[in-house]
Amino acid sequence: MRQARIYLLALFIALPVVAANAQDARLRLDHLDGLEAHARDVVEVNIDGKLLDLAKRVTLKVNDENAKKVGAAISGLKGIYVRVYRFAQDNEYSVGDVDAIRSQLNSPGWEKLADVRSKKNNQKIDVYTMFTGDLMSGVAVVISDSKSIAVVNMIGPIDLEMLAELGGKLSIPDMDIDIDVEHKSKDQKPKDDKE
Amino acid sequence: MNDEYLWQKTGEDPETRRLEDALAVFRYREDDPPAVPIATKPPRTRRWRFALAFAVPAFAAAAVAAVIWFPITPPSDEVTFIYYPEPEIREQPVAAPAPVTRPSEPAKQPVRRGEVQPTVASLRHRAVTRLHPQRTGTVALTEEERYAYHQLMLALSISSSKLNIVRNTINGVEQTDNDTKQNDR
Repeated sequence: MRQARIYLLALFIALPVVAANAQDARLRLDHLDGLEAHARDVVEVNIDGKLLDLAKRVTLKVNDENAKKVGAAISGLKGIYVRVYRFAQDNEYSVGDVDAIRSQLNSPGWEKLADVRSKKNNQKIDVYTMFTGDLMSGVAVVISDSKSIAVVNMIGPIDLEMLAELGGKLSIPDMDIDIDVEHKSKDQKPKDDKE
Repeated sequence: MNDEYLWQKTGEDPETRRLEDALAVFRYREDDPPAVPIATKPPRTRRWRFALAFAVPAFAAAAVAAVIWFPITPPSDEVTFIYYPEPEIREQPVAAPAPVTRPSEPAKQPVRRGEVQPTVASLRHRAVTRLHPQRTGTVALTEEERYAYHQLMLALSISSSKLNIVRNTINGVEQTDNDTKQNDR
């Protein structure tokens, strides 16, 4: 009886910790809202909760194999938050806005997966993942250069390889929003788009 | 009147005999049909009634088959959403369409300006697809389902794009490192 009480107590302590850990994968992006006034192009997508559940059901409803692959890849997903800001001129945004996001990724739980720094266009790429046990509980991608900021924050497990491969299929358009044509021609080979 | 002659036809009864002779013209003869003094018209066969009896069920069956084959969309909030396997987005964009907004919320103007815009080719493709919908790829979705699906696909497309940028950049850096090492040797 006493052992059962101890187990129950441990369970009550552990559950909020696990829940809090899962919630930590969500980044605070509110401070980026002020950039909307200065940016030339803005993309803001928040999809979670019932809206995400509805979208998942639609992927299964659509009679297509690739749609079902997407549905399987995002079955455990709890939310996707996307911010893309593209500016007409260089350095129209404050570096502190992006650093505030990167500082959140330095908190415990996040693990750095990729870190690329290039002096050309002052490009910085950060990819972080968060795991709860063996299960991925979050992904964060922060890409910034002199003219654009892009932040992708996904909560919950997701197959990143499959997501990358599905670009351009289904209704997922294969687009590169933050790469200017002139930058692309200088920095990247044309084949890179489809690879 | 002699009853024996009347009922048994035995004996003689001139009065009855006279009546028999007077009515002899109406006597039954086995060979000839009886003469009917009233002129009768030959019966007309109404053939159009037979034709109508076949035409009405045939028309009803055709109508039922047409309704089953081409289902009538009820005038409700449901809209037909055509599913496009591979939309074309890399051509010259046309005028920006009105952004998709949540039905219950007011439109947020500055957001999603960089959203993927349909092209002339994709719009034409959609129009053709709507005119000739394929039963396998057409799904009837409500407005909210359509909005949710659109938002999810937009989020996934951007996420996919960013992951590909990361992958291409890392591959490019590794390639550059390898080239540098080969040049040093």
